[in-house]
Order: sequence, then C-alpha cells, then structure tokens
Amino acid sequence: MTEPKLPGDDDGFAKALFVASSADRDIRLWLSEAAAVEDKPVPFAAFVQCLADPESATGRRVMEMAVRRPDVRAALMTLASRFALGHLPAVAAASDGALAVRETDAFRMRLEAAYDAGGLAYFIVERLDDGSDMPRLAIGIPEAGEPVMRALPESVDGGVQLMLPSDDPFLHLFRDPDSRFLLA
Amino acid sequence: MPILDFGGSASGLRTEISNELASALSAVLDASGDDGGRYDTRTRRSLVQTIAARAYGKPLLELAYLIAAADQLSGRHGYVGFFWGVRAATSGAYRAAAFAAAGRSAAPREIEAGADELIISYPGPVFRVSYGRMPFLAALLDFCVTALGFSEMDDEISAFLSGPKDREDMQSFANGLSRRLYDFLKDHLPSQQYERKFNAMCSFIADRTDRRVSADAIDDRTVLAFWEECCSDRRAGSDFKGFRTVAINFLHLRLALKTAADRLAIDAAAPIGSSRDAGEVDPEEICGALEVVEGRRSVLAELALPPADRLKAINKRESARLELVMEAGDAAAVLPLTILRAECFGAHQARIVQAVRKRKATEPHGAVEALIDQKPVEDYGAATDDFQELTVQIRKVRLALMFILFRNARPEAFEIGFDLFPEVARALRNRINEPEIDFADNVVPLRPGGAIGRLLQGAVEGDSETMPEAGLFKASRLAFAKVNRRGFEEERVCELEIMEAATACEPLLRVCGEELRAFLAALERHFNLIPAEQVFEEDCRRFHTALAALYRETA
Repeated sequence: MTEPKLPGDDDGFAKALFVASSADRDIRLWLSEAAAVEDKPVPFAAFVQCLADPESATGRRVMEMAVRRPDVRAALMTLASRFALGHLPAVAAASDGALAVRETDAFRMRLEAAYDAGGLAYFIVERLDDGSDMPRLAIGIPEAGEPVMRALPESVDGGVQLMLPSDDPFLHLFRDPDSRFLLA
Repeated sequence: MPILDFGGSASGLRTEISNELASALSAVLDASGDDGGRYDTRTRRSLVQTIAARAYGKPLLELAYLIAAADQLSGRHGYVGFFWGVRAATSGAYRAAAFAAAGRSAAPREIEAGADELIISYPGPVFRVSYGRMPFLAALLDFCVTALGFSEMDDEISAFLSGPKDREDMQSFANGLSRRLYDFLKDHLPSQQYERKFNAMCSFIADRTDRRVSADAIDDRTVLAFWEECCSDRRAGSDFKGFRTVAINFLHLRLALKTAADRLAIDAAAPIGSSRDAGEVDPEEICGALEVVEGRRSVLAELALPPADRLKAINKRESARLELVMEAGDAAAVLPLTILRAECFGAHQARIVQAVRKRKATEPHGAVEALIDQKPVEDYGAATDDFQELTVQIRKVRLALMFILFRNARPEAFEIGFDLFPEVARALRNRINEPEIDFADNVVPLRPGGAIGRLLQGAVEGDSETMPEAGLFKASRLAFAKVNRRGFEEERVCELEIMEAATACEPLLRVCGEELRAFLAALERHFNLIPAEQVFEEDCRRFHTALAALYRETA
C-alpha cells in the first residue's frame, strides 16, 4: 500500500509557491529600497512621449537626459529612427564649403541668417508634400561622434523654425556634408 | 552579479535579484501617466507577481494577438502607437483607442471592437482580449521592451507582424518571447537560493518531527531552534543569518505548505483524478495562489500609493511596526512569538550588524562585544504595549475616516460605525424600512437613497443623545479633531480627493486592525501561560548564545 501523498519537501507546488512568494517579496523590497537610485532606465513610455511632444515636461526631461546619458541617447535614437518621417543622408559638399539646404521628397531643411539679431541663425523645416504629420524632433548625426538633437515646435501650416546661436553644434552638423539627419 | 546583503537589517533582505532586473521593473512601474502613475496598483502588483512566479506563458500568447491586432488598428505608428499612445494605461483608455481605430473606414475586417473586448478573427479560433486585461498586457510588453531592449524586441515583433497570423504563428511568437524572458530571468532572478532555503527548512522540520513536513509542524519553537542551529554551525553565513529573515522565510514556507495542502485536499475531493499528479507545476496556478496571499501583504503598500496616500492614515514608524504582522497574514496568530522576537531581537541584531560593519572600517571590536552582551532596547512587554497602542491609533484614524465619509454623505461611514460600535447597528435596525431577511445582528444594508439617506442626514444634523447615528457622527468628529496628520484637516474634508482617499483607506485599515487584534490575542494567550518577562529573559539567554556564535568569531 502506498503512503498517501502529503505536502512537504517533495511537493513541487509548495516549493514553487515558496520560491515565487519569496521572490515577489524581495522584488518589492528591492524596488522600495532602490527608489532613489539615480540613472534608472527611462520608462519606454517617456521616450514615446518625448517623440510625440519633446516640449512637454517628460519630453524635456528625456532630452536633457539624452545629452548626458549615452543609454538614453541611444534609446531615443533607436525609437526616432524607427518612426522617422524623414531620413536625410550625407550629401555632396557645397561649392562654397557650407551647406545651407537639405531636402527629401517630403521635407526641406534650410538655414537662414537672422538679420536683426547678430550671431543667430534660423533653422527652418518645411513640408513639401501634402502629408499631415510634421516632425517634432530633428537629430543631426555626425560621421563620427555623438548625435545632436533639437526639439521642434508644433506646426499648423507645414513649417517650423528655430532660432539658434550661430555656433550651435546642431548648425555645425548641418553645414557638414558628411553628417546625416533624422526628422521624427 | 551584484548581491544586496541586508542580512541583519530591518528589511531582512538578502537577495540575488540583479540591479538590471530591478531597474527595468522600477522603470516600468514608475512610469507616469495622467496625473499619476501610468499603471494602477493592481496592474503593478500583477506584473511583479507574474515575473516572480514566471507565469508569463499564457499572457504572452494574449500579448501576441493584441500586438498583431494593435498594429493593424493603429496605422503608421503601429503597435507602439496603440500601447504607448495612451498616457495612463487604463481599460477605458484602451477601449477608447480600440473604438476610435476600429471605427475608421480602413479598419481591418478581422478585428472588431466589442463593448468589453477586442474580438480578433485571424485564421483559427476567434481570440478575445478584454479591455480590462490590456493594461496588464501593456505593462508586460513595457517590461519586455525595457528588459530585453526595444531594438531587439522591435525586430522580432516586426518579423512576426510581417508573417501569417494563424494560431500557430501566435503561439510560436509567444514561445520565442517566453524563452527570451526565461533566459533573462535565469540570470537576473535566480531561483536556486530560494530552493536551497526551502530544502534546508523542510529538512530541518522533517528531522525534528520525524514525519513529512506540513504547515502545522511550523511553530515558534521550530523557527527559533532552526535559527540557533544555523548560528551554531555557521550555516547562517550563507542564507540564514538574520533572525528576521529566517522568520519571514518560515512565514512564507508555512503559507506555501498550507496552500499546497489545501490544493491537495481539493484534488482528493474531486471525482476525477487530476493531471497535477504528473508533477508539473502550472506557473499560472502559482501566480493565482500568490495573488490570494498578496492581497493582505500589499495593504501597507497600497496605503502608501494613490489614492490612499493623500491621507496619512499610517505613518512610517507604524508601517514598519506593522510590516511583519501583515506579511504573516493568518500566521501572525500561529507564530506570534516569532514575530515578537523578530521585532525585538531583529532590531538588536541589526545594531550588531551595523557595529560589525563599522568595526571592519575603523572602530575597535569592543563595540560589537558590548552590544552582544546587551539586551534588546525593547522587551516583550514594551513591544506588546506598542502594538496595543497601534490598535488604538488605528481605531482613532478609522473614526476620523468615518467623519470624512459622513461629511461627504457616503454610506461607507456606517460600515466603519457598525464595525466599531456593533450595538449601534442593532439599535438602527428597527429604524430602517428594509426587508428583515437581509439583516444579520450587526449588519444594516447600506443601499443608497431612502433610509440610508435619512440616516446620513440624521447623523450630521440629529441629536446625539437620542439618535444613535448622530452619536456615531459625534464620536467621529471628536476623533477627527485629535488626528493631526496630512489630509486630516477640517477645511479639506469635502475635497473629492480626500473623500476618495478615505474610501480607499478604510478597508485597508480595517484589515490592519483585524490582523493586529488576532496577533495580540494570540500573544495574550501565550503570555497567560508563561509571563512575557519570563519568556523574554529566556530568549535573551538563547539569542545571546546564538549572536555570540555568529559575531564573536569574527570580532
């Protein structure tokens, strides 16, 4: 006659529940003790929010973190590439050595000097087709080195412009024919 | 792998959970939504339980269907737009998103937005995903993306989306994702340590009782004896150093054994044999059991989260005092001495551990020696008194909550009143014109309008000398005036968020009070047999021996 099965050290269910229950508690404790840890991963929802509206509080926070944290920069770049409205590749050098216009079928980006404010330049993005989506983020990607990102204001008429100091690294990248750009 | 070692700390945490896993979970759970967290408390808790129990198999199949449907529904932004296009991941938000997308002229024929669920008619059986399930599935996807990387996940999802979508394809994608999660958790949430603990404790109990291990075999003497043995042969150096940790491990073990026994009893009663005999354990079943036991354990966490946290019903010190009692659940009444020991001697051990750490840095070892020779700062009498005071405080706060609810004409006010003053319920029974059949001795049906409306009005406006409901209100007003904590301010009583907080706090505090009373009653029974001072003195001797064995060796 076999001994009736009783719960104990041979019971897989009890062991699995003990393991799960202990792990669950440890995770909860870890989370509460690690609440103040810096440089935690940025929630994916924040990246999406940043792409949708880089001028929102979350968007600005992600953009600031992207400047100082390579992991945040890389993640934002990945997502921006995935949902880019326009990829503007490297181009042939301009005859005067400095590029002022780049364009695809859908968008044109150009630079214009600001006449009434010394040392400033306008970065302008225009929609060329009849699509409805306008980019909210422009990313300059150098041949070597770190990308530079700029949030774009919301547009209602198919065009946006940013006023930037003439020594802004974003403008340097724009003028460099070896760099490429993303509009997301 | 980094190991957090809090062996003798207040939390009793010694775990091999990796920073990477904890950070990924933390990022998902801390994500913000509209005016609060992106995920609600229940979703957050379910995600942690699912990861802890590794019960993601079936949810990943649901996720596969939902990703495929979402990608078809959401146009250019695809599944990302559907899942993360909503700021707060609620069933209502996903329902609205599904309706908006399904109503477009280009909406796919295979997907229908029903009233309560998305109905997905790919080749094979129709699959349904309820809107209520979507926040959890979104959190699970969020976790996968954060832990495994968006780029890798997106490549895999894109390949899946470009292929056929019959049941096998869905299952195949879910299996692939399941394997990736398994590999990730194998490294970042290893289970060997927990299994080792389970085996060590069960072996000890089996040796001690000379029979198969059961929940009933775990008592206060067993827990202390196990820890003493670990200290004396220095096995504690690995898994069982802190008494508080050991106490928590035994509470979990007892619960696991009890749940397993209940499950076997149900199986035995079933007319047809169960497939469980095959030895396979269904993670979903583990997760379900975990959800049941977690209900009470999570009370303190829920008090600290919105909406309850708008009222400071429990302060930090009280929460720390309650932690072990709530962790124990019904075992608090079975292992009351273990809890008391963990409170008094656990804190004492934490001070010794702290001194050991300092000694390693700079200080002479005399401080550790002196601490080992001392008694705990708090003895059993003092700790019991403190727990008693806590029950009084909880009662006072519940009365204050009753005041807030009365002022907002909420019938829940009477639920508190009848619980704290059962005689009032009996007195009011005759005043309410409701079918008697619904009445128990201390229960009054709280249906809105009619009688309850009159009672609420009478409570606030009536004469407390002649009307029992007005007496309740008066008692609540007096208590409210004595609670000087955040949110309990007269001018804020009628704010919506304060009323919501009071409604959320009340059932949580009620549970705290119940657990505490059961624990104190068990302690009282114990100390009626052997006085608390006598137990404490004996324990001081035993803990001194064990702590000396643990820490003097390294002094």
